[in-house]
Amino acid sequence: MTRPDDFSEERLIELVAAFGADPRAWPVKLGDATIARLSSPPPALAKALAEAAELDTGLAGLPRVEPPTRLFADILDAAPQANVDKPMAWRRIVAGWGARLAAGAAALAMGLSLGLGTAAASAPASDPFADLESVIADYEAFGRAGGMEDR
Amino acid sequence: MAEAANTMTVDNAEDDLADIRAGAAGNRLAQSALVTRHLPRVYALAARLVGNPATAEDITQEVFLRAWKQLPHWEPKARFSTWLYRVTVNLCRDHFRKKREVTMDLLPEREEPSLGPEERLSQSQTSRRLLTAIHELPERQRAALVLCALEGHSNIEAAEIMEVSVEALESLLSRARRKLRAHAFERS
Repeated sequence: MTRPDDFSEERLIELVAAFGADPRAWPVKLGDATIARLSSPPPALAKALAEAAELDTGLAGLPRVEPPTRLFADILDAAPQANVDKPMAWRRIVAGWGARLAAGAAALAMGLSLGLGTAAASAPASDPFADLESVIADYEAFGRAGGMEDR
Repeated sequence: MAEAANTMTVDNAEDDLADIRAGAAGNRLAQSALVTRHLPRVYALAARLVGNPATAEDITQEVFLRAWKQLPHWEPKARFSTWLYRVTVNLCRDHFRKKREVTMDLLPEREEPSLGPEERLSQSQTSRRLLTAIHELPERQRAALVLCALEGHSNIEAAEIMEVSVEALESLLSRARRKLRAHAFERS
């Protein structure tokens, strides 16, 4: 670990060269002696500081870079979906099949009743009322023939 | 080298960890917090490195796609932000390997209201020269410069992102700044 006051002029020039003229941007802690040296620097260090300060000013003046607002939404759209979506998906599937089954059953019931009605209309021979009418006719004929008297 | 890092990190690793766990389970608020916290710096890093807004957008989207895939498996060995920036730097590097030319259609000019017209023109010319110079830097020097001088990462974090030693990072920065000066100030 470099002690705060250990910085030689050479090391300070190296720090300026890498991190710029502002000691607050350096990755070191400076002791009082170093701060004093920086406030009245020897010529080589003064030159390095001046050159670095010019570059720092130029870099600080570069345009800001900000992401377009739609990028936020685009990125979120691609984020993982909630785990609760899985059971929900199953529920949707079950509910979907349930609805289909119910609809199928209703269609079947309706089909059956329609089918029965149609069958009855198209098959008069099997009409139970037709049989009943013939039974009544036979009964009346039998009565007229005296086979059965009203008392 | 054990010199202390500067403390310009703006993200919060603990918040990240909580949001990573919730985000992996599909919590929209947590995902949104992660994007809000990291998108600006990831995009800025990509834009500074590739010099083209459209490419920077593509790279940023790819970074977050990888992040979403990574969330369920995330182990807090490294900071999430460091991981994001490392992926960004690597994707930018891949971009340059595939496509050599560098476009310079980056960024609107920054209007500084306190400057007069002449000063504004001078600043604009300096910015243009600097941007050109930055894009002429070798890849690793450019990454070191952008991470530390423009995006405010500490030397330790930048070294971690680039997977180099702190000493190597310092050397890359020195060379980058020397070239920038030569290009932007000493030629004119």
